[in-house]
Amino acid sequence: MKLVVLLFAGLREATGESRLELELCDGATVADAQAELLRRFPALRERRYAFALDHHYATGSTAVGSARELALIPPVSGG
Amino acid sequence: MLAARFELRFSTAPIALDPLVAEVRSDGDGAVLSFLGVVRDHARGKRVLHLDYEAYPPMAEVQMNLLFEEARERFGLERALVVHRTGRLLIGEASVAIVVATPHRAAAFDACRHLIDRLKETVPIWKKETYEDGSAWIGERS
Repeated sequence: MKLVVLLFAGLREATGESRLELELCDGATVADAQAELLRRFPALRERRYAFALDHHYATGSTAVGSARELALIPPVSGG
Repeated sequence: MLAARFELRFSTAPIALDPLVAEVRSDGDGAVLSFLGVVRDHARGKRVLHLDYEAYPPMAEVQMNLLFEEARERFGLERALVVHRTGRLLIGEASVAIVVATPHRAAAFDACRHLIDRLKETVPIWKKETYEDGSAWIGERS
């Protein structure tokens, strides 16, 4: 299954990508997607971020399921 | 009584407060409170030249709605509008405006404070500060 991955702020600058697609196995978790991202972008290893699946915060153990969009959320600083 | 009304908007243009106040207020409100977050000329001991804001709007809307719901449960808030800038901002510009309207003032102060404090914790918006000697996304290295 295909999952769109979005990268923001410093993560976008560190990887040079704002949007990409991953092909994941059925039953994949957020951690599985993260492992593939770390393989492609070693620069992510040094970074702190949270995950969001279809606009809701998620954790590594969250199943991707039918979600379409995974976002890596660096520490927020709005306001 | 009007139905509850909550909204988050993003804007690349300067924020004008008066139209927002007119939009949020209803005839049953005795208090309309507005907050502006404004770009400061210094941070972390350095002179700031400008800021750049980036957002993830569809998720920001979902997260902001959770915060509106919190404020509704805790303070009975029913009307609030939040406008956040994106793109480049210069010193003195408002980066965020929050307008709340309530029948009595205490709930307006409490709810507005809650919304801005929680926005800074969970809503996916990012700020990059540019100084005379470089720039940094805030929160990344802490």
